[in-house]
Amino acid sequence: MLLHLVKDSLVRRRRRIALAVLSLLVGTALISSLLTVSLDIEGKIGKEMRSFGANILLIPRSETVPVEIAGMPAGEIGDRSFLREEDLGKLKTIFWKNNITGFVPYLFGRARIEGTQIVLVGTWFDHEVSTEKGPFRTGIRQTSPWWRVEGEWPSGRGQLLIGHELADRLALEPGDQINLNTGQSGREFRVAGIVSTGGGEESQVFMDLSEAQELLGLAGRVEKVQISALTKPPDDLARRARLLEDPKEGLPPKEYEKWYCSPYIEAITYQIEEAFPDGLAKPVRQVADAEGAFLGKLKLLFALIAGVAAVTSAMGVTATMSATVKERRGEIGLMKALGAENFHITGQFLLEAAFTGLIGGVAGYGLGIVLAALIGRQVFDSPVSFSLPVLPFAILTSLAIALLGSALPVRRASRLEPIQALKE
Amino acid sequence: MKEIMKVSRLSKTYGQIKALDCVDLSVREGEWLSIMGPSGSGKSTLLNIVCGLDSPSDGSVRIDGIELAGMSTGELARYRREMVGLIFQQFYMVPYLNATENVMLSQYFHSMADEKEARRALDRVGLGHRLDHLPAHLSGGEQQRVCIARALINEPTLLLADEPTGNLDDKNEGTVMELFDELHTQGMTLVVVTHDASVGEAADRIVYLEHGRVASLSI
Repeated sequence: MLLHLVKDSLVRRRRRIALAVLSLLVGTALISSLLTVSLDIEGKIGKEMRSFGANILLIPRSETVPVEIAGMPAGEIGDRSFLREEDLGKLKTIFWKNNITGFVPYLFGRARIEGTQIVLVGTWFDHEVSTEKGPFRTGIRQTSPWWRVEGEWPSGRGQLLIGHELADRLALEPGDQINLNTGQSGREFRVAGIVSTGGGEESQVFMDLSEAQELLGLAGRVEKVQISALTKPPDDLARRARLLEDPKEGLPPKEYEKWYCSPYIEAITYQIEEAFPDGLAKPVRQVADAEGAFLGKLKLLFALIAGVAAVTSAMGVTATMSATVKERRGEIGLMKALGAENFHITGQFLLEAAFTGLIGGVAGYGLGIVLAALIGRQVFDSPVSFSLPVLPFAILTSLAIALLGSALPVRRASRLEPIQALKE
Repeated sequence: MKEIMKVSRLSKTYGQIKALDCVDLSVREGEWLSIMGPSGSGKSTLLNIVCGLDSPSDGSVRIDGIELAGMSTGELARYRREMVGLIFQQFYMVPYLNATENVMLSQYFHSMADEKEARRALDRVGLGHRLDHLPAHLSGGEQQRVCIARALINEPTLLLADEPTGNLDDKNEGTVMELFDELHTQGMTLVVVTHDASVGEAADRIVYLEHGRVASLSI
């Protein structure tokens, strides 16, 4: 009988119900789309942030603090420590190997171009690394997409890239031939391009790592590696682990396991150091923290928008339900006169609200998918991955909004005096 | 005969207005009592209190030995669905439920809706051919007969009617009165509020109210 009453009431008041459903649909669509984007956002923001530079630095472990002067490690070559280029493939063997999106080695040296002393940097521009899962392409072109090159990127031996500031100083242009001398050896190079980065790189010279190793007599050596990794912003566990010298010792085993198996930047650097016992992996804190802070603020903004959407939606339901209760005062009065108790009235109205919430939730989820796809395409330029748990969440949210929005009118309905309602 | 309804020193005031003033009244089991009087005499107020829709300011109302004064809202709701059958002048039906469903509504609040029983009740009041009709498609007399079926479906101790023929033409008034007569013959206790002398005179006893007081009794 109750279901019959609810069904008949809903069918008879379909226009009013449609208004309540519309209100719930809009609110739930907004909330579920924001949740969908929010669940997918860490990866997306991570990818976006990776285009602003590497977030991990791998350097040789040495007893002295590494000091850089004019962008290159200080000290004579004999005093400096190195990593082996052939080991770099190990970066794609760690637990979070798939989160390592790129890495670039650097080897520094001093050289002269027409009597001017310059910093020579050997690196990978676009290099193929052999990994367990096959070839992996990486290099500056992948990890530093903001570098602007006038001319072209070096594409073979005998070509180099000159920083914009140095090129101005030496009056060099793309296509010029120069003689570069390291003291040990000298060679003719063609200036393939002039690079603008907005940083210290503009006063340096970049060439393929293998040629720099030959010129500097450091075959197979690299001095530092910039690594781009997709990471998870720090939470309480990550912040606690950060304070420990060795999380394996300092954390309870279960927490350690959780920490190790989460892509926190410190967990990834920990795993890199496991793969490179002679290396020291350091998070580039500005990048990592900026990412975390940005993500936190974005999620807060999403939560605020979702909150406003929920309140607005609930107000819509309240207005519709109030009108319905007012319209049905006589009916409520009759039911009470026939012996209905408050729970009969409350039950009927809440069931109607729940049904409205159910329709609003399912429809809202559908619209939310479209909205999320739109946000993904317009804001992140990539599709959004849909998470199935968002569907029950959308339905539960819509139900909660419908029930909360109906609470006040339903309370008023249940407290209605039958004698007054019948007299109207 | 057992005393089904006992009203003692019943008063009801609305602000400064005394709707009922120290009314004493009793109804025996199987008796048909008419309450008559001019507009504003307090007869509907008396009926509303007896059916548990309103509460007295003072005095006592006992139905089958149960005191209504001081009952909670929930207790009054239970009293209405279990002990009394109500019939109103304006019929009051749920517009989107058909005749059978309107009768079943009363069953639903009482215990469990039973369609067969509801159909039998409508058949009993001569509406076996209008079971699936919505109130809008029923005449006034038919609507009132649905209300009588609804009032009887839970086998109440007392049938209370407020101007049951007030909105009916002579023919339908006759049909309703025949039904009341039949119910009375079967032993139902009826209290009918009316200002229609022909309706009132059908009862075993008439109580006249004036200015909230019992003016006279006629047997």
